[in-house]
Amino acid sequence: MPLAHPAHLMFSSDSLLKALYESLPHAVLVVDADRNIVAANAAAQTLFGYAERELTAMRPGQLHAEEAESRDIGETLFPLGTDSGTLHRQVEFRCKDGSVFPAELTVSHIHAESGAPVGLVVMIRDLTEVLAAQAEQLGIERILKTALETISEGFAVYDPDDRLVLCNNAYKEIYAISAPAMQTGRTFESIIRYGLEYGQYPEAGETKEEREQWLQMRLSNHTVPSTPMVQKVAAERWVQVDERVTEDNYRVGLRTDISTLWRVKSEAERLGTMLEGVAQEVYLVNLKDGRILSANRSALENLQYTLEEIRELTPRDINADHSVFDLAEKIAPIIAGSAKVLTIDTEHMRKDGTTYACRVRVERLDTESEPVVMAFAEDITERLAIERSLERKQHEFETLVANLPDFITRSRPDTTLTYVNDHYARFTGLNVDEMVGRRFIDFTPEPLRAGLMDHFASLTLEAPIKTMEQEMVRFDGVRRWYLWSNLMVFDDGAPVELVSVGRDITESREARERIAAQSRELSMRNDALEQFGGVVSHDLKAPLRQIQLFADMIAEDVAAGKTDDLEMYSTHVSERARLLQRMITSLFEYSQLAYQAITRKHFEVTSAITAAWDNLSVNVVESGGRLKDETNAIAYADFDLMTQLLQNLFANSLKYRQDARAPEIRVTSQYADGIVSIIIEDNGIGIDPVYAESIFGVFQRLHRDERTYAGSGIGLSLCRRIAESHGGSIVLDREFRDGARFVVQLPFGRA
Amino acid sequence: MTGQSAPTPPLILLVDDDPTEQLILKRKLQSVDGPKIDLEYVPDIGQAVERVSAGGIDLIFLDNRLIPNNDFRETAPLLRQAGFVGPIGIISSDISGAYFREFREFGVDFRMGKDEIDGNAISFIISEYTRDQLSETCAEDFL
Repeated sequence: MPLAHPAHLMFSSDSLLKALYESLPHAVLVVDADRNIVAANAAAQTLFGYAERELTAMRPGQLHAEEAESRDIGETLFPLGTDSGTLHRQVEFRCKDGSVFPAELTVSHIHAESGAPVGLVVMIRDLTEVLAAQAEQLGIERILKTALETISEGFAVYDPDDRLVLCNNAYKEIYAISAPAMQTGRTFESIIRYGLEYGQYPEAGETKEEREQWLQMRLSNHTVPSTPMVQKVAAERWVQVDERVTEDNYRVGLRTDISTLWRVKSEAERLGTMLEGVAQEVYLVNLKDGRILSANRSALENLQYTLEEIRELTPRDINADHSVFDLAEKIAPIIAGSAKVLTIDTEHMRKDGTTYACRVRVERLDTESEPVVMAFAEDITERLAIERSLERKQHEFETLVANLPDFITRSRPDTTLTYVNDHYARFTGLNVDEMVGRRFIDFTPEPLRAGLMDHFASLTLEAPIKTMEQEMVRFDGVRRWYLWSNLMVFDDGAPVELVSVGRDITESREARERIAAQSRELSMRNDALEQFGGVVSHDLKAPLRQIQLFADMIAEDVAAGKTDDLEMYSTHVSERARLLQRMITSLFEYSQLAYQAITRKHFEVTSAITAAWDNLSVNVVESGGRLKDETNAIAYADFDLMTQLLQNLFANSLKYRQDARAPEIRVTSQYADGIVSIIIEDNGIGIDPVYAESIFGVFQRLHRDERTYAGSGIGLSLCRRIAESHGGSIVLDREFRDGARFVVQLPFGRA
Repeated sequence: MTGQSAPTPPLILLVDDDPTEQLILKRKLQSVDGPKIDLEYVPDIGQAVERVSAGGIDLIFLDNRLIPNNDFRETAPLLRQAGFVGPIGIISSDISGAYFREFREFGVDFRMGKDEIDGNAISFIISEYTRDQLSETCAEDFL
């Protein structure tokens, strides 16, 4: 059934519907079952730009901007069915002028009284402005969000229930540990508790109670924020927490990273504390007007001023040493900027007028808005006293070193001298300045240089000091012995300086040598004494024992009435007794000569030869001996002992002669290297070279037969004692075959 | 051997540069109880070496200091070098010298002070140092 004209729709509520229809701000079209627009209200005419006549001549599909969309809607609605559902969707329509606009489409069915659908009421709501407004809002929101993400400060908003509404990434980055809990809708307290659990807040305390107390304080500040607070969120990170409450009871929080500022502030505070606490006086002076801007506690205490009082002063007011002009002249380079730092020794005057010496280090600081001077002053009264004491001690030390009898040198490792004391310089015949810079190895005799350098090379880090004895030649040729203590100084393992101290030990060395010689002599005498012991215990025992035995035998035979052997036994007793007597006499002679104190003097050897020969005049006559003295030497020895030595040798030559030949003795001399050699040779029976050493033993005899060669066997032993007691020697010439030849050598003789 | 002959008396060689010592020792041997003991005397080491080389010496009394030699350390080895394997005793008026303790190193079997030599000492030495040697000789004779 065709839809009636709206005029025909005047039902009981017609007037109401008509008014509604005409006054609706939205476009309304009435479409019949044949898809014809049968009515359009004023808003529809205005919206689409068509007159009602034009609209009613159109089909609704013609108003759609998109044909596919039009077809879809048409297929949805037509043919009209019993379904009375409402179609509601957003579509685009095209106006008469061709423009397209978005609109909200609402289609409802019109039913006849029978219930059958007869048409559609189409309501079209222009969404152009709505969508534009929405787009504008979205844009603003996007800009706001971008802006929030752009700022470096953390930003968060909590609603009146203290639930997180939004926060930017900077906020999450600041609270990195708590970030997982920062979800929209979570309460501020739960986020804080999460952070506490995972260590977000280093200052919250260690124990559970401490953290709970900190939490309550934090919530209190959050609920009723006052002034911004500083919060530590990591080991080296601090943020400033700034929270506000909006009129709508929202809490807006801003977090600013102030780590750098905080550190600088801390360091500055520490620096300030240090400057305040240092013992040095610290002043800050304005270069422009010369006034003291500030001073630390030490300065105030030393000068006895308050900070306020000292701020009224200038450096000139506290300076007591320099005139204003002098001070200005000294400080001028700082004021002019040509010098950055100056050190001035001066005196400061206290408030009470007393003064004290101080050293002021002045430094210009250009980093301030106005150039200032930072001055560090140190009371050097004690230091000056110490320095003066040190100078005095150094002077004393230098005087001591200069006057010490020891040689003192400092040199580089290659022996280049850097310091020489006067004593050493005088020894070399040079002055100190001439020696410094020269190598002291050059003052050492050439043969000793290599050994000396080896000695220095042996000084190591582990054994840096060694001593050595060195013979040195004075400038005038005098030789002296010095004990050098050489210390090598090392730096980083490398030798850098050699410090040497030399002490004259000539006398002590000579004394030492004398003692050594005496020790040798003592040892020899001990040996001789030991030999004496042996002689007493052996050689003297033998005849004694024999005398005793023969006496026993005589007694036994007499007791037995035997008389045959008594005479022989008696003869043996007599012979043994004589032998014993001779040995005792010889021992006495030996002891007298062997331990006689030596009195050296220079004498011609020939004089001792003559004396010895004269002493043997009886033997000489008896043997027919002849002497050839061909010596031409001077000996430095004990004359009597040397005479005895020669006499013993001559006696042997006379005694051990060959039967058919008169003994001939020839004495010659040689001199070489400070040694005098006296050679005594004879034409006697000679001595087997096998016994060249044993003949010098005490009581050593080569011939037992007393009838042929009588003697005690002590003569040559005595000769050796005499020679050795003079530091010399006596030996048998093993090569000599025509008799016996002895060579006596003595030191310190002169040809 | 066809029959048992009388045992040969032990022969002692005295080496001493003092002939008087021979007279004294001979007198002492006369006082020794028991079998006869023969004594030979030489005044120096050269003759001693010749004598031991000839054989027949059972025991040597060697004076410590033989002129012109030094002491037994020089002379005793000469006897060993001459092939003498029997006992050698060093005799001296004084044996207190420290070097006497080294006597074994020089082939010497014992040392003795001359004043210690008497009949009992000689008997003991003969029995102590010549018994085995004689036994061996006898054992060989009876093979």
